[in-house]
Amino acid sequence: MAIEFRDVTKYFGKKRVLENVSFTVEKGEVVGYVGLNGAGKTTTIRIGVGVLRPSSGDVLVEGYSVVREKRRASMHIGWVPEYPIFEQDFKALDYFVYLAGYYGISGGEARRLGRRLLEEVGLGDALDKKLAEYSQGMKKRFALAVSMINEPENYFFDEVLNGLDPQGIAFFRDLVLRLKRKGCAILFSSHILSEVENLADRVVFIHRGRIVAVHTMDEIKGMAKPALRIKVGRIDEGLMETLKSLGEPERKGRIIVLRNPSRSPDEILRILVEKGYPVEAMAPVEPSLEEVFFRIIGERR
Amino acid sequence: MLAPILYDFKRALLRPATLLALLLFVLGGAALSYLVYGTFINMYPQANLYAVAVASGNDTVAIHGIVYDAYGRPVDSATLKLVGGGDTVLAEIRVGGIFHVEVPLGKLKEASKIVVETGSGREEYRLLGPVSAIDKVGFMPLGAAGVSRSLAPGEGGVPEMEIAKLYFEAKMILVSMKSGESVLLIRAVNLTDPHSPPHVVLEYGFAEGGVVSGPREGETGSIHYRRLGVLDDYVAYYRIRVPGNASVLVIRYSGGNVSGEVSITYSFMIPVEAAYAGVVAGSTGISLFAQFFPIIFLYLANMLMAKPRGSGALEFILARPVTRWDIYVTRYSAGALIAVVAPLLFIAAMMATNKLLLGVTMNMDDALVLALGLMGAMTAFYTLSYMLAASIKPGRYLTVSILLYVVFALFWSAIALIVVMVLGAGYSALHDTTYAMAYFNPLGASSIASYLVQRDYGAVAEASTASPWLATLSTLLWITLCFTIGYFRFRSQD
Repeated sequence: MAIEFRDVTKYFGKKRVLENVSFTVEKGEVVGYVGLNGAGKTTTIRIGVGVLRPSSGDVLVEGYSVVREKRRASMHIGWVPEYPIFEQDFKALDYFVYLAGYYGISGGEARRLGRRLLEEVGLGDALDKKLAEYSQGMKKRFALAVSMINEPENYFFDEVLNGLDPQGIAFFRDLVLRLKRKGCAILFSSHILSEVENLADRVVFIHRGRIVAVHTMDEIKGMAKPALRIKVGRIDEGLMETLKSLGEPERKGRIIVLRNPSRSPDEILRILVEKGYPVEAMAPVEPSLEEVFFRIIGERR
Repeated sequence: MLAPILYDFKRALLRPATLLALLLFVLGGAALSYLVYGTFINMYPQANLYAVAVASGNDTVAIHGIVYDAYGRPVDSATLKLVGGGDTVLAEIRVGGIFHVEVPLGKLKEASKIVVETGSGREEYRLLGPVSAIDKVGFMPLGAAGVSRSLAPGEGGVPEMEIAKLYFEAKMILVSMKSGESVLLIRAVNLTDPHSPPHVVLEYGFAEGGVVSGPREGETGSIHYRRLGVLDDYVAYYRIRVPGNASVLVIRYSGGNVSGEVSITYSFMIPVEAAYAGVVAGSTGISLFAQFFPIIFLYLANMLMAKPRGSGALEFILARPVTRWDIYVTRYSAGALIAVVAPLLFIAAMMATNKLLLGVTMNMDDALVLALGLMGAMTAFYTLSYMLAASIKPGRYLTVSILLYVVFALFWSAIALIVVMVLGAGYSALHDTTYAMAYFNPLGASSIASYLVQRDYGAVAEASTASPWLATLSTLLWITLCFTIGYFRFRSQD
């Protein structure tokens, strides 16, 4: 396996923020890391890339411990933090060259590489801009370019879609798929669950510092309760009572989502029509990660 | 890992702020030089004239003299100006070394002063009597225009005149008490025939302290005379070495039907190099700058560690193939190397500018001691600042470091005074206490180095507590402890 978290526990002072976190990311696999704010996602990733020391446990990247063999492990890691922070008084390309120096890349080569990667992430016209003038989205793109300096096989993306415009989100989506095809291991946390659904092969659920579930996307889809989205011309108490006898109705404006229906859609439609309710539309709801997520979290509450 | 470390160092060194810091040191060195120049030339003017005007007939007066610098060395190229009322230049003559020039008597009468200009100085002189007296007595010596000039250190010698036979005067410039290097200037006029230069044999010897005028003729006593040379000019210049165990130089002249002697008590003179070293290493010299240079290192520690640490920028760097140790060391090294290079630049700039302004500079040993002291002090203070930058809450760094700077650089002498008062040791103990307390100050190495240089020239009282070894040990301890504590605190932070 490419990335392996082994019983990672972290305390900030007396507060335990991670407890025996263990999971893996295989080569060519995209793993989504999902949890509520403050669940411990960023802390896990910071430990994974070696910028934060675990109180106990370890993370192996390509077999190298980020605790004991930090330099070697870091040679195989690319990281894009949620809020990248750089030394502000540098121009982008200069800072890239400076950071490339840590990988043993000479100045001239680093400059050529910097131009190519920065152009690739859409910063071609901001090479000589000071990092202080960069927007949050530009900083993320810059961090993304830096994460690819030495073409590592493992990537940690922390809420990388935050602050990106639609074009940036699309670029990132394509990049992840490209890296996956190249056999890279990718762990990315995101609160945009639809993106996780689109990209991840597996999802690791963290809640209050503990890994509460790890599921493949297929498992998640299987776990999601079936649901129907029903649009009815008139919604009243009678309708809701009827639907309660057919499943778990939830009103969302003029739409009612009926989870876990006890009858087939055709039968439900027939019952409603017989009771005189004008059904304008009825369609099955796709299985959702959000639903599974909240169910898992809910179960653990 | 060496390449990134070197790269980080280069990056830190080539930052505008760092280059500015180095430039400040160079400018500081030059500024110190001007400070030294300003103070030093008040004691030892750069353009000096030792001359005598002799009647030469036909409405002209011959001026025989020598132009010399603060160290008594003849100046090759100088200008002599006869200046009248309203600073009108009546005559301008190029002279060099020992010179003999003829000036019109009328111009000399009109002149209110004689100005000597060299590449590094300008001084005013005048005849020590009315011009008309030249005709009567055949000659008139020249002296400094201001009263203070005539009392200038080194203006030794007691004019002794064998009436109607020989005017003879000697002046000694004590360059170094350590080496005994001195310059002896002599001016003499054969009064029986002022148109002809004197012709006498010169001898010199040394007497113990307490001898005011030297032994009388025929009573040579314990004085051992050595031949100085034959004086056959109006002005002469000799280099001699004076012993430290004597205090009076006696010069004996004889020839034809004249003989006599003059004595110069040199034990009270401040040697030129001591005056110079005293100014360079004293409280108005290097110590003054050593008080303000730490601000630069306080800033460097902020720029290299406190600021990026506080903003979180170090974390992004830490995700590279480096450890916390690497980051701590590379950033420390960048500042520490500046703490080493900057004092060298400072001293070098000061020496170069001194050479330019004064024609002299410090000897290498003293320069090395001062440079080492400054390096030690700056490195220790930088390490202390860096430790704070790497360990305390970044928002508090500037407050705490500035407070420590004020205590260590500005108020330490006052604290020493308070300690003396609290201990009831009396004011006389302040000197020793000040140096004893230097070991508890990261900047202490600089004051001990200044002391050592000044002590070497007798420019400061002996302090039993000032030890170069303890200063070295204390500086190393400051550096090692602060560096280690800083690292362990830096390593353990999240």
